[in-house]
Amino acid sequence: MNSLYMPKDSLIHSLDPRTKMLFVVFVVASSFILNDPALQLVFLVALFPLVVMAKVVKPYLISIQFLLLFAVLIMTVHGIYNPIGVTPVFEIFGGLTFKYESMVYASVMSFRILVIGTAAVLFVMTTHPSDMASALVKWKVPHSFAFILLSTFQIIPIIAREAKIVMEAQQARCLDVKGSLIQRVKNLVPMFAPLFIITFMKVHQLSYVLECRAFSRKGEKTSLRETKIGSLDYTFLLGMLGVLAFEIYLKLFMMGSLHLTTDALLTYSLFGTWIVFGFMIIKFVVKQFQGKIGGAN
Amino acid sequence: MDITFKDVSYIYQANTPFEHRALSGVSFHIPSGSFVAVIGHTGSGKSTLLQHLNGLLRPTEGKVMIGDYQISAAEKTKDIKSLREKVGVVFQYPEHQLFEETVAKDIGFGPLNFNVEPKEIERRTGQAIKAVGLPEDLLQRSPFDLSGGQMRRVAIAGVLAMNPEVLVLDEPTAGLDPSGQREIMDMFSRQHKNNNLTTVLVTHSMEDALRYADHIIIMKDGEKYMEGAPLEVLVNKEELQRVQLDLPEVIQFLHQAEKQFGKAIPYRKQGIAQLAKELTAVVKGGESHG
Ligand SMILES: Nc1ncnc2c1ncn2[C@@H]1O[C@H](COP(=O)(O)OP(=O)(O)O)[C@@H](O)[C@H]1O
Ligand SMILES: [Mg+2]
Repeated sequence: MNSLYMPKDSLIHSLDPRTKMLFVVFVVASSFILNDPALQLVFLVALFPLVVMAKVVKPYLISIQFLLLFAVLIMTVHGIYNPIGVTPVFEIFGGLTFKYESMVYASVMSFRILVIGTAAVLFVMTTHPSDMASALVKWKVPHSFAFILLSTFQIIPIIAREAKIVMEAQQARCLDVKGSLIQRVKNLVPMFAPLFIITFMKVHQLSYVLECRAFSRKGEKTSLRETKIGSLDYTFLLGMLGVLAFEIYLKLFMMGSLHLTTDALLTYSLFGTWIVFGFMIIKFVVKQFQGKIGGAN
Repeated sequence: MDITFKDVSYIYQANTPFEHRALSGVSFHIPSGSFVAVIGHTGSGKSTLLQHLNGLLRPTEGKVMIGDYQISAAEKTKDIKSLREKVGVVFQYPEHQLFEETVAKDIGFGPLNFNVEPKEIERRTGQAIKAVGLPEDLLQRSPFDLSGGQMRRVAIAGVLAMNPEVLVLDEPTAGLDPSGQREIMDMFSRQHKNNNLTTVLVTHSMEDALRYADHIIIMKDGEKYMEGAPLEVLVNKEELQRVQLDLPEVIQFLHQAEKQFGKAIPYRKQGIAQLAKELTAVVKGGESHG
């Protein structure tokens, strides 16, 4: 509940966190090597089977919606207004012209966001936070640093939850959220003073608990959750290496002769994001509408 | 004020991977002036239910009616501020909401937000601090210098000072010492009677539910599991055990006595002395007949 981790039983989950971290690095690198919309689209589609394998399709689609909003915005606004565009592709509403170069630029950027987002979501959803910390320790990251990272991940939702509780309590005493600017600034006090104190108390308690468990003891530490690199990880790593080599080969020797990106592809990508976006809006409106009907009865 | 829930469902973080249905299809009616106890296992949705009572949460489906106020997903409740003035909520661990420099200012924070006159605030503050059993010379101290139990009382005084018509209490005595628990509960009971309040209490103590409430609602996994008068609901051992609840000790004791002596003593909220008398009568009566 505290993190995005989705406990499931899958091949991806059983990979070592280190493999998955390298995977994220690999995807980021690839998204920059393949700075061509067509290739990135292929890459994005190729990542999807991994999502299916990790059994997180539904939560993935829900989380990726937000990135899609960015994509729609970038594709539309850049496509029309980015000054690097010269060759018109098509026109809407008279006067607003999508241009080839700007569309390429916008598509590359949006696909990159989606590709990296996919990898990040995949990593976070399939990796237990503690596993990540112990994997970091295996990479000779100091134990206390790994712990700071881990506890930061964990304390953010806790603080968010406390913030909600405090805010509700003050709202119940009718803290006025409207009013003049000075009033609003003053209103931050009832919100943040308790929150600060609670957080401070929590951290204080945590430090006691850690001391009681000999956290600052010197020497080698063992981990409750052991991670191991196995044959599956090696297969995966080799696969990544292969793909990476192929990408570099593509980039170095074939970019000149390969013209995968066409007007049609760009246009369809743009329309595609619009259509998905349209569905999201329709779903939202229907939800609101159902609420209205429900309220009328 | 009457409180009515009509098919209320609530989903936390709807449309995210963490969607969680905390209430489903809850309906009940609480007439004005009742003292209602809401009981249930941790996570059964009690706190979620309470947060609907002053419009902090709006039901995902269904609607909540409190007096003339309506809360539903579709429409914004008119005048939510005046609703919140009438419904005072004591949250779990209310001492966490203290923030002012002095106890007096913190108690006056609610009334001040409702534009109550300074004179009147001062009067109410004095009243509230007495009601929760703290000496008045604490008023000028910082709330953070107090003990945990005292902080709890200050926070409760802050809600009482709003002069609510409905008092909503989420485990108000959790973590206090036994005598403190008893004092605070008696204080709520007095407030309930003297000010004609409608009170909704979430508690884990079957004893408190039996002693103070005139209506019981038992929650299970976000649904209403049982509802009724305390002496109907809190005597049914099997049904209660199904939701990990025990009979109140008095009832357990009386059941045991019935087994032992073959004669039931009806429970009418008698005190311990009275019960002892009746039990003696049963035991002696049994001997004289045998
Ligand atoms: N802010 C929240 N976000 C998501 N889930 C929540 C939130 N608050 C409570 N829940 C979940 O809703 C359920 C009911 O919670 P709650 O009403 O606090 O139960 P109770 O007060 O009976 O212990 C629990 O399963 C809890 O995990
Ligand atoms: Mg609760």
